[in-house]
Amino acid sequence: MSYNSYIKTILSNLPNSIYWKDSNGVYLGANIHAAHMVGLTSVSDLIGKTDYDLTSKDKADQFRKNDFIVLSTGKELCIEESSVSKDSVELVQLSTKKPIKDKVGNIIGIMGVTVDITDLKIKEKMLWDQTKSLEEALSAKKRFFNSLSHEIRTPIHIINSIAEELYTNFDHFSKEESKSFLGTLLQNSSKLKELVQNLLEIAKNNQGKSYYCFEKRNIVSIIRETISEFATIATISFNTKHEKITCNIDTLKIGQVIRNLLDNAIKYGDSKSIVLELSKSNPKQNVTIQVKNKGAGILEKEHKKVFEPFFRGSNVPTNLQGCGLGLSICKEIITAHKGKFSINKDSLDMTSVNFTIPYIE
Amino acid sequence: MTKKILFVDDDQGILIVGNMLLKSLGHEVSLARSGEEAIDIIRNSKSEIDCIFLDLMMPGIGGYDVLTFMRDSHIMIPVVVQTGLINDGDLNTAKELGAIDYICKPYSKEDVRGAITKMVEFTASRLLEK
Repeated sequence: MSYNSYIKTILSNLPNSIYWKDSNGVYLGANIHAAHMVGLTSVSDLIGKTDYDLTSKDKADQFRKNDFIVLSTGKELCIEESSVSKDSVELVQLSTKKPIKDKVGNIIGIMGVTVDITDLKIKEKMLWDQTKSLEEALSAKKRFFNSLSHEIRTPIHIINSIAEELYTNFDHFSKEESKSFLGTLLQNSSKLKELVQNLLEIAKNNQGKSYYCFEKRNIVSIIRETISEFATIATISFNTKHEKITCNIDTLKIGQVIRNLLDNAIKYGDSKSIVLELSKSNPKQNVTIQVKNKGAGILEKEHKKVFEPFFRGSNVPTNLQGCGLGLSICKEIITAHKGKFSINKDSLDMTSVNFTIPYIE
Repeated sequence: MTKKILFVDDDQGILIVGNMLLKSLGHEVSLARSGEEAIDIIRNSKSEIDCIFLDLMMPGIGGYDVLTFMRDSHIMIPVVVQTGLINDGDLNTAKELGAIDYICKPYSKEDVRGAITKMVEFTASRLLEK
């Protein structure tokens, strides 16, 4: 086999495009892979053509611009270029282009090697996306532990300080003072208990071990009872045409959902303009409960994310306490009741957090 | 020596504890349950306050806003921040705004005593400088 034949065989078998052009961008030679890449069957079909004969103007402009850099600087250029395969698939290529010089050193053209890196770029993007979501998860956990630290430290501090003072100086306090201190102790130990219960609930949900005690109950009266707990701290209007709607529910857990939604409405909005609406949608046999209020609301792009554990809305002031656990627990509970959550904003600019659950005729 | 101390926190339980600990150490206590209330008290009776214990995380006007108000109004009452936060960045911001130290919840009576000593020393060193 002659030396030229060797070279031709090697070029033909290389998996990359190898080509050389004159200073006007006219192909002078290439391997078969380069011809295939632009949808031609032979190298001879490629020779004599420019990129403008082979691809769209914007792609050809890009190739020509890069070729021109090599021609004008005389330096090697390694650059990513975009192209389109014969099957009209967008490709990303890594091209290394070098000047071709004559015997006296004048640049008379360029030679290039182009590697298809489309798959690598797709994997790179996947890795990038994964890294980004991992970073988001880490930052959510960091925020969660900061909030949790605050939520735990405050009641522990109160309980510890009061217990120590009562124990050390019991005789210094009157009966009324001691009773008032005990009330504060009780309130804060309840707060801690609720926090621990929330955390346990999340842990159980994560392990698929949450238990429900379903029974046929009137949801209207459960809502009325829950609203009455907020009588001293908020003004809540309850709008419904119904006095009795029977649902198959876990009473404690549905109460927990309503309590959480009302808590949020008070915390993030105007505590004097809260509206709770209950209606029936007959075709779907669902009861819809809507908690509405005026306030900062929830950004539309975050409507789904607020149900993720640890997530807190980006417009929530950092000085507001909360672990970002409430809505994710609520969603789990409503899903277990075969219901759904949604969020919307009405024409009066009121944010409405809604859930549906099936009712029994 | 008895000091007049302003204790600021939005949590009723923490106010009860603050009041209890400071009184048991022999000090006079004023309580503020919000940043707004704290600024009002500082504005109206700054000459009667020796030191301030200030919570950072409060709804509405927070601890940082109170510190900013004091810095902008050239009010030099020493402030110790009391917080449940463990974030160094937040505590550094409070120090940059003029807080002289911080105590992290849960803190003890000794921590409170130590913080008051620091605030008294701070005021004394400022007087000496003058």
